Amino acid sequence: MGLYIGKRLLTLIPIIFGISILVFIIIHLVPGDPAAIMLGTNATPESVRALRHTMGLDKPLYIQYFSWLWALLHGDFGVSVHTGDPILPSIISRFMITLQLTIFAAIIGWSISIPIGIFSALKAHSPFDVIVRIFAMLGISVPNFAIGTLLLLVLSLYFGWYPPVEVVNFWKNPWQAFQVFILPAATLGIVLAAGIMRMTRSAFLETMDQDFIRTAKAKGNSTLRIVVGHALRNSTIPILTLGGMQIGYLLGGAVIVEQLFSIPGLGQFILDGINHRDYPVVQGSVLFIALVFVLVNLLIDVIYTIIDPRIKY
Amino acid sequence: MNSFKYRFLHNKTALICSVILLLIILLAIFAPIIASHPPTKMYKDHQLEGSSLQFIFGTDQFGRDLFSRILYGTRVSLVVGVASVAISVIFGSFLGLIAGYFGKWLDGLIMRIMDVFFAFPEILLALAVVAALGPGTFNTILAIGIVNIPVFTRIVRGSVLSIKKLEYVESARSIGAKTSRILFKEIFPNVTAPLLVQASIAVSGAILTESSLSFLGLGIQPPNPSWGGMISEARRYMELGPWMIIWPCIAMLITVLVFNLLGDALRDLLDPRHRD
Repeated sequence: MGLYIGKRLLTLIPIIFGISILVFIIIHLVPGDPAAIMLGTNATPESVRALRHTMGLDKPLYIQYFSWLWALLHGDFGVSVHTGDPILPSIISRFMITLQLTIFAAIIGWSISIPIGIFSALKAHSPFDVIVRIFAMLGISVPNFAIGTLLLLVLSLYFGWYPPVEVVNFWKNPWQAFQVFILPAATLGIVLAAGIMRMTRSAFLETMDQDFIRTAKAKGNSTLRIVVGHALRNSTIPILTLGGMQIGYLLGGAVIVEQLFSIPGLGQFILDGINHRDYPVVQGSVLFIALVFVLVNLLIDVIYTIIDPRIKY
Repeated sequence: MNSFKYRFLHNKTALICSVILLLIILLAIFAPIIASHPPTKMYKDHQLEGSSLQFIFGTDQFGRDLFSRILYGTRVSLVVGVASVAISVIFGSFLGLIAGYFGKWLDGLIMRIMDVFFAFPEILLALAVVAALGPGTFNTILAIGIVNIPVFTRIVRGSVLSIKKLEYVESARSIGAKTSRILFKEIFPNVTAPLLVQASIAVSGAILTESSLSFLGLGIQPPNPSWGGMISEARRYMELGPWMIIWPCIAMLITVLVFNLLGDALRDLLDPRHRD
């Protein structure tokens, strides 16, 4: 196992290298002179030149890239053009908020959808199953911001309830944090749940069709025992695969949901960066999220080998 | 192919979805004729009005007719959805074809680059591209198109890997067919089935991404109507005019749902494992 994780970490190096190149290229697609754009229309030529120099924009592209990469490797993500603060500490403190949101969303989404998906598969083509499938289809056909806006609309208009404005950590004030995060987490969770329900249902339908389940039934096992003891583990791989992809969706979706619910997480940091034309912030944050996503995928590959020992690499 | 046509016409979901889709396309094409009002015209005396005979979906905070705006929004969504997926399909299939057919280092190089793309959450990559290029319809199409290339590359490459070993490809090669002919005339037609399924689902995803970008103010720019932008604007008037949120949501739901259901139905029809 240790050897496998080590090998996988090694294969990550070119990917991470590629990610850094891609992020660098995208940000350098900015048409015109980034320094002039960042300083706005009132900038004097001297101030533009000064910023170009401090940002190293007057050097050739590959030198810019390698000096950026070299700084990154030393944990230096640069400073924000807008506030002058170092970027990495801001990214980390804001990521902590996004992390709470995404974990909460994943708990809501996955804990509801897996049992429902299993039940839906066991009672395939029953009215319950049909209703579940309709809801799941609706869930993947609505964007998260529409769900969030509708949730806000219904709760504020008909129940007079608004989420508290101040964002707190879960371990400081769990109740207030719950109130702050419940709507955005539910918004993200609903979309997750729809996908996982569909996947769980189809994975279970396939597993329940197999011979070893028939044997288990013939031996007189209860349905509960068959589901938990026999079918669940054999249906986990596709569900887990989708779950891993959904982490990426959560990290990306957080940008939108944080904006909608005014949560000062990493997503909002990126949007502020875009609106202030603060390219170092955008560059650093996007890179950070991609790195997190890559590590999550590695973790999921490791979990595969634990769940299904037949998987060897 | 005839048996496909037969099964398509006997698949209720596929048939109903195609009819609705056709209807949506017609609505988008004939929007200027069907719309009851110009989409950006402001009726100063009719701000934030609910449904009436004059404004069947009501009006927004500027007194613009919601029905007409949603109708024009359909155009934007379909154009962005289809055009961006076209970009992804063209580049994705080309890369997938050459990666799968030539293999070796070319395959390794292309697929590693695709892996890098896969390391980004979709919306985030689109966001970064639009942030760099600037907002607007064309850049939105480009951003979403680029983001979806790897999905198609992977699908086409996978199919090519199994197809290129088949005897008919070998016989084409042995009679001296040019590589371009083998790639595009012999192999490509056989990967269109999975491509079609994925394209249908990708259009719905592209419409959702476009609306998300527009919601954030980075996609389609006002006063051009787009569903995401409309919902974003409507949030401030949520209590005064909830219909401003509800109608665009319904329009989006129907359109995206149709593409998703169509994709599902096509998969059932085209994937041999799903056949009865």
